[in-house]
Amino acid sequence: MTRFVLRRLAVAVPLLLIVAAISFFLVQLVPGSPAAAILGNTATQEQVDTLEQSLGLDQPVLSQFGQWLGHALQGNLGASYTTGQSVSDALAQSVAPTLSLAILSTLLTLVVGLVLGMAAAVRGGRTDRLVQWTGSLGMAIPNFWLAALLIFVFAIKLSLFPAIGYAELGTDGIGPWISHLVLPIIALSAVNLGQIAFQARAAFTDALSRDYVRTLHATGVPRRRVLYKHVLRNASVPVVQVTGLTFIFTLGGVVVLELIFTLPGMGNLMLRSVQNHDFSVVQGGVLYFSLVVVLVNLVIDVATAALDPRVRVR
Amino acid sequence: MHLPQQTRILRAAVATCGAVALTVGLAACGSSDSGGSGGSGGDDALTVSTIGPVPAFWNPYEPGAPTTTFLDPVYDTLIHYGKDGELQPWLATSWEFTDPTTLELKLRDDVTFTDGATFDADAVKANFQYAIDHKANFADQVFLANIASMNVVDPTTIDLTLTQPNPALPYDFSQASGYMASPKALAAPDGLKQEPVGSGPYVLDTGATRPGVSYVFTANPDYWAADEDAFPYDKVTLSVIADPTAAKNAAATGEVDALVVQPGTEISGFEQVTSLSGDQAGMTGAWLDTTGTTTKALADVRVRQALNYAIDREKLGQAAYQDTAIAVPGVPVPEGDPAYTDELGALYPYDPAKAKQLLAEAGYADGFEMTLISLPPADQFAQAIAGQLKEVGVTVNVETHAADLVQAVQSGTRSAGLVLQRLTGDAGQDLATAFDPNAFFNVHHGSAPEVTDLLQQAAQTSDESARNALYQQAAVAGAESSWYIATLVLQTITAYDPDVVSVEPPDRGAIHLYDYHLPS
Repeated sequence: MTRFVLRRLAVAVPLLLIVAAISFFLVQLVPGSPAAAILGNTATQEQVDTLEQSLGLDQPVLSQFGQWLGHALQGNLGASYTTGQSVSDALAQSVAPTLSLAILSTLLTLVVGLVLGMAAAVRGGRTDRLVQWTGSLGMAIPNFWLAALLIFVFAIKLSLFPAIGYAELGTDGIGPWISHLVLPIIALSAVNLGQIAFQARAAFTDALSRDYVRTLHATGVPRRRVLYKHVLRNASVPVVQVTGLTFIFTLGGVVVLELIFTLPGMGNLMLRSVQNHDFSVVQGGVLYFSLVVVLVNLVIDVATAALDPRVRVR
Repeated sequence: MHLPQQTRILRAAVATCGAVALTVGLAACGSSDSGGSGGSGGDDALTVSTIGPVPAFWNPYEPGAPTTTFLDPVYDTLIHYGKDGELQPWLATSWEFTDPTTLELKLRDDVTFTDGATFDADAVKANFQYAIDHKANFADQVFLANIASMNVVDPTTIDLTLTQPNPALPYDFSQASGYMASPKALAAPDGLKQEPVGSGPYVLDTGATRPGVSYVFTANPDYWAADEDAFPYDKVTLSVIADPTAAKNAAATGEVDALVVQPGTEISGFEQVTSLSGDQAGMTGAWLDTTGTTTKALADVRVRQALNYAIDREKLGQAAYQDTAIAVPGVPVPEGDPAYTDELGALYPYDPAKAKQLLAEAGYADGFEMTLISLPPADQFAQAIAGQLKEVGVTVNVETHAADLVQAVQSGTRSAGLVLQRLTGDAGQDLATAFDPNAFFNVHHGSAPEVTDLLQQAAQTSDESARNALYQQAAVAGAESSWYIATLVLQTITAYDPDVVSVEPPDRGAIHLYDYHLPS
């Protein structure tokens, strides 16, 4: 298993390099220069040229990439053009809100989705219809609309949660931290919940119809044990895989919610950086996202192997 | 046997959902004492929402320096700009033109910068010298080029010798050009990248600040003017909220005490004031290539005037800016400005017949075609202009540029473009900026010699009423030259929580931090 993990991480290195190169050359295609963005619309060409020179943007693109890569390999991702902050610091600060949101939302959808899917498959009938109806509704509601509604009701009218912002888990404590995340998590989870519940329902229905379940029942194994020890484990494999994909899509989709809730996360940072031509931050952000995707895929593979002995990791 | 097992599963489901609900409930309870953590928290804290741009560094004298929003808390200006446009002593106790080209500044002797350096005439000289050497901000260049030499008379007196008379100079010292940084910090300017070093009422709390997200300032314990009722808050937070709806929500939940809002926005319990200054305020309209290099017709002043007659500015303002914009006749001079006259106000009433007549006289009875550069947020405005000009036979092709706006303008291939010129509160300066031959859009070097001559005469006139008379003539001459069409002055609407703050903007010019008072 350790060898498997190490090999997967080793394979990730060239992948990250390719992603870094592609993103570096792609951002060069964006019209306009960071210097012009910093200096504003009224700057003279001379001022733009001077600033470009001091930022090293007058160098050939290949040489810029070489320099960036050289520094990146030493752990130095450069400094933001627009805030002067080091890119590593900016990313480190932004990763926490985004990962908090994505992980908590994924855990919530996984647990609730599994329970709902299981209940729908086991009980059938009215419960099944209710779960399907609720899941469909969740998927049909646009999350930005739900976010606006949640803010209006729970932040503005009932004053239960803050409307915007983020509190640090380390410095502000767990109460403020979670209270800033509740509304974004609900808005983000609504769509994913339906997907996970449907996947869980299908997986449970499939597992429950298998011969081994009938055999287990016939040999007198208690139903509860059949469900939790055998069916749950088998049904979890596809659910875990869908959850992993959902998590990755969630990371990409948090931008809108981070904007609505003014969460200082990766989505907001990347959006602001793209708008301001802050290429060094964009570049660093793409690397972080790629790394997270690689790690999540690895975790899914390991989890799948742990749940299903037929999947061998080599 | 079958039923109880199903019930157990259901129980598990209910228990899980219950646990989630409990967590949410606990979090809600936790938020009651933390909901205001991002906001005011008490009478002595102020949170202002801003859309940026955020500071890339804290040196006030480098190109791309922070805006006054961010510099006001940490740097003092030499002079304050009063509510009625009157200049008030601040770091400079008095100022006087001893002759038309010599400005004598008398300075305070009790001011220390946060790094321990003393504020004196040498510090002022060091600031201006740094700004001149580093070509400072675009806006400062005009006045910096004006300083020929500086003479430190004694620690509290400095004489500035000017290349030409400029009565607006003291006004400049109340704006971005007047911020005083520590001379020690300017000598090793790398330190100003991460932290400001001024003598201002607040210091940047670098620990609590999150660049690009929120900037926290705490009261400077050694502030020289602490006794004056100018900066009453112990803590000022500038919260960067890009989305107007999010900012409004933050205000509604008490997390933000003051913010700039879009026309038509209402926030329960908040009061609103309008000002002629701000990030999105100033004269908007379209500049024209007056040389006719791109579109021959525009070289003819009759054609340009025709375009102004063809625009219904009132209707344009209603359509694009919900009636909060003030129509002005081609110059950045609204009613109440010293350069305003009834003659100016009567120019360019909406008169399409007159427009057609002028076009015919110029030989363009069948109209002509031109391009207009627009920006995404102002597209509605650009399309409305195009629509109105279509009525008199002029076809306007609107081109929207965002990231490549500067390149599009500088390429010199477009005949017109939208512009937003901030109003400074100084009539001469506003007119000079509008008709500056070096304006960024004036790629083909058009000129308005009559306007620049009158402004130059005004600069050499020390008598205020005589100077204003020249400004008035310059404004009419500028309007008649029709450099700009479809001109409106956009106002900034600032909403504030009257329990926390009272915002009292100056009659003209920019809102500064000292315009935020405790509620009476």
